[in-house]
Amino acid sequence: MHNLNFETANAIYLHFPFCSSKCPYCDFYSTKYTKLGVDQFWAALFMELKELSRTTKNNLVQTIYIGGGTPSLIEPVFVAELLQKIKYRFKVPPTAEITMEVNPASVTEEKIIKLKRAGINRLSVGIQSFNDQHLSFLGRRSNAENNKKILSLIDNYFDNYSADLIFALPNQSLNEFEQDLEEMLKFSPPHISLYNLELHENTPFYEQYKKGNLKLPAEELDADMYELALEKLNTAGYRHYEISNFCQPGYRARHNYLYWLYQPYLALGPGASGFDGSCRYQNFRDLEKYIDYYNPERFTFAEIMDLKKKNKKSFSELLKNKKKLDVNNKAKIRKINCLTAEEKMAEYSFLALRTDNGLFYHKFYQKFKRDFKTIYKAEIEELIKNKLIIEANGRIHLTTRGRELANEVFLKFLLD
Amino acid sequence: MQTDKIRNFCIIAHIDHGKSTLADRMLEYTGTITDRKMQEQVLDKMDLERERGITIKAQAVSIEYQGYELNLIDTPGHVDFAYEVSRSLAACEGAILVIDAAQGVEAQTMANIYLALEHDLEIIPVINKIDLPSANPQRVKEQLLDIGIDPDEAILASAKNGTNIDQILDAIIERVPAPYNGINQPLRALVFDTLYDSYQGVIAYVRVMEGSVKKGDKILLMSNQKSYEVDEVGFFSPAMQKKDKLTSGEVGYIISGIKDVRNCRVGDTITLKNNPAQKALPGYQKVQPMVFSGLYPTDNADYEILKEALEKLQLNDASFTFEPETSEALGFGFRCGFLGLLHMEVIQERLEREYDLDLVITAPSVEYQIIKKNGEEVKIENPAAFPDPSEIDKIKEPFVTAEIHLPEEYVGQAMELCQDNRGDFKDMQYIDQDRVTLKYEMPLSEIITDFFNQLKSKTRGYATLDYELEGYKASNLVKLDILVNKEVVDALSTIVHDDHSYQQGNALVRRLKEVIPRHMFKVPIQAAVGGKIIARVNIPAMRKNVLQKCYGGDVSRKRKLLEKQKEGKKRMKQVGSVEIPQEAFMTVLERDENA
Repeated sequence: MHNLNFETANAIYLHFPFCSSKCPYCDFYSTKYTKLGVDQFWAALFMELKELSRTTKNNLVQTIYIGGGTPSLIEPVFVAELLQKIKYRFKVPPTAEITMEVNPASVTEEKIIKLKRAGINRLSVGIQSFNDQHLSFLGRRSNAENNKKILSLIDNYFDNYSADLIFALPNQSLNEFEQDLEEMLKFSPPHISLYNLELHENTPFYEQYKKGNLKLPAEELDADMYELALEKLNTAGYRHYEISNFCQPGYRARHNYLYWLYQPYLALGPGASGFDGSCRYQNFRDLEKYIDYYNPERFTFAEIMDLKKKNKKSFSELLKNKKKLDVNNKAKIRKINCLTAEEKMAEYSFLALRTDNGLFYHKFYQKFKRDFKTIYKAEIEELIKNKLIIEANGRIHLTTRGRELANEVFLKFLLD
Repeated sequence: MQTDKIRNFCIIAHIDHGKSTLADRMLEYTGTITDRKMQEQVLDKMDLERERGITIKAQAVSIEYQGYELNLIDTPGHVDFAYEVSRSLAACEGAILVIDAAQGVEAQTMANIYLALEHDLEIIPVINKIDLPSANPQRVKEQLLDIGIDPDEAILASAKNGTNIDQILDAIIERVPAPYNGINQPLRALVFDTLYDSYQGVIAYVRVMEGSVKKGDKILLMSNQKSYEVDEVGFFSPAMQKKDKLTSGEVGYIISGIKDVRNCRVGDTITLKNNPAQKALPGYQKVQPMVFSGLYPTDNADYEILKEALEKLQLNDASFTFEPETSEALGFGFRCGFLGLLHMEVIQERLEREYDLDLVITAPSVEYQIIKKNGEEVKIENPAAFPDPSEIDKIKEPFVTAEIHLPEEYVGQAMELCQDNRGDFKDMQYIDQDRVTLKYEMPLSEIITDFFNQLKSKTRGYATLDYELEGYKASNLVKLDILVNKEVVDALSTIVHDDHSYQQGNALVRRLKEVIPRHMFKVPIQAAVGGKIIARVNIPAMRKNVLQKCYGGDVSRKRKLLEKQKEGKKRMKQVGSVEIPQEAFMTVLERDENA
């Protein structure tokens, strides 16, 4: 097995794989929230943290992102403990960006305050819409009123936060989306993320779509909505710094930006994906396996559930007699995929081009020792001719049209 | 073997009535096949045949039973191979007619009976699948009476369970006449199928009608007067078994170093060079391909591989032809000739499966005869090669007589369909109270589009179709061109009747709009006849194609999605600046239900 090697990783992603209910469009890994499951998960996560921290050389962490799942289900006291454990193993300067995703349905004013005290300095709130019908279609447990309430609370307590909107929903009119945007802009969040509804395999929406029971809006309307958003957000002073992301000056999502800059990052938790600069890995989307793997001297998850059911004596007593779990194959916890030079170049290109800065030829050269402009001479010329990219000052970047047709651009920079 | 101890027979049945299972059971019962590991349905050899449940090549097996030699000849079961079927039947004296005890007499059963009677075969009716709970042999017997077959002669059987197989075998011995004994006459052997073996060359499946043939004999093929020396003769059991000689009445094979199947065609008569027969056996026809289409490798680099694959397929199939062709849109490829649509599909599937080729296939066409104003006459089977309309005086196209057997309740729909496809009603006959045969004269070009599929769907699968070439007749035909982004795409041109050109042009551009993806620019699709645009749709420019969400967990997945998109683009044909997917070239085939 390849050994992951995080010489320069300055970012940590942490996946909290629990939700109260699953949204029908979401394909992130999550499972039903149970107290026992969460307890076991924390124990395992701390073990993984320990294991991965040993593979790093430079322990400086600039950004931490707690995603999920629904991390706002975590008791703030555990958030504090988690950050403490991270700080025990890594250097986390006071300037580090520490983000947590929150669901408006599972936060309160008290929680927001406590999260801030626990050390979280940026929230990312999944608003998605201010329209009750659309929220219910998306399987969200919050409503428009609560969304507004939570947003204004967050705005009260947090200087830095981001809010998400989803558009191009079935039966959504341009006007409805405009109302969502306007509602959002009333709060002037420092950062806004915008996504059209994408259908992923193995989600209920995808199944409905295949059966013909779910129709996405026409490409034209999707594009009209996106263009409307660009215009409105631009007028409101937002910088369109990545295809789906907008910020007021100084409020870029630093953690996400590292992804687009092709920087390595540690990822923890079942289903989480990390990158050490040359290999990508994904932990299996299986909480039980994860827990069993990182609890080698304890009971298996299934055993604990079983004991709990039978209401046996305390765990500690039973622990004494418990033999070691047979975890002899360490490779089983995650899939590691080391990239070829071509794959790296392709990923680097399309990630860089997602940002407003685009792709700098000299940076590409530094990284791969190959001249981007020479490899893709014809492609670059064609894309410029089609007004999809602009070349200036030793870099190329997408035009507005290029952002809408970004895949057509990215395709050109895949090597055979 | 003495002639009076030989019985030559075939099994005929409506599809799914249990023909192949019965054949297998007979082989097992008589110990012809002892290997228990034999695959189901020994006689259908190719995977494709097994999957589609149809026989494409004829097969022959000699069965030893109670001192008799019973030769079973299995026939192909599709209208495309009608000629091969007729030659197989000509090699027999009797036919087992299998009827499903639950389904009863069906349209194809009738067609089979006619065919058997035409060849003067003794018919042994077998009511099969009596093990089924829904079996109703009494009803089937009544039906037999209706159609003039003595129901008392019918044998009740279950091929699946092996019930009464012995009775069937006994009936073959008792009722099928022994072959004519012409041992003292000059050799006349009927070729009813051929197979190519890379070591031995052509293996001719023959029925010796008169005389005998042995190793070392100099034989003569009577159609082309080519002569060869016999290397080996033998019979099938079902593996090939050498034998000293084949004599009058027997079925077997002859190997004589023939390198090209085209020199040993089905229906030909083999005689001896030194003692030739006066006359060839009746009924020889050189089967000609009737349907033509262009086969192009998606990746031009595969041209040589495709060429080799076609050469190999042709070794085994004299009725399949090909020659190099160039298309402005598709590059280098081959114009191939087939007996019919099924034959075409089988060959395409074999190319894709056995040779792993990615192909673009143009819509099938027939061969047109064009009489130019200057009197010159040309034969053209590629619409792209049609001369300028101003030079054309007359266009003739092949017509067939189509016979459709179907239950009476679907007659209305079937007639409507025939009418829509330029059918000219000729006759309608009741086979019995609820079964009908329709006769239409129709252009072959209509039959080879979507006709058969539509017929099937309009009659819930009950209709069967047979057709026979009648000859060429003048029609008011025009070439329908398709322009994609203002450029004519030669591979999308078709020949249509002038009265339908507007309608078909409209339908076609609409279908193309569905299959051609959006581009960065607006792509007009136009249909034109003689340079005049008759239909137009626009594929709007692509507005949005972006994976909006892309974070740490998504990168590799997004890259793979992009790679897949790129792969998809590679499989398309670049015509000018437009990428056209493979299926677009076949959409020409489809007919709009409402058109």
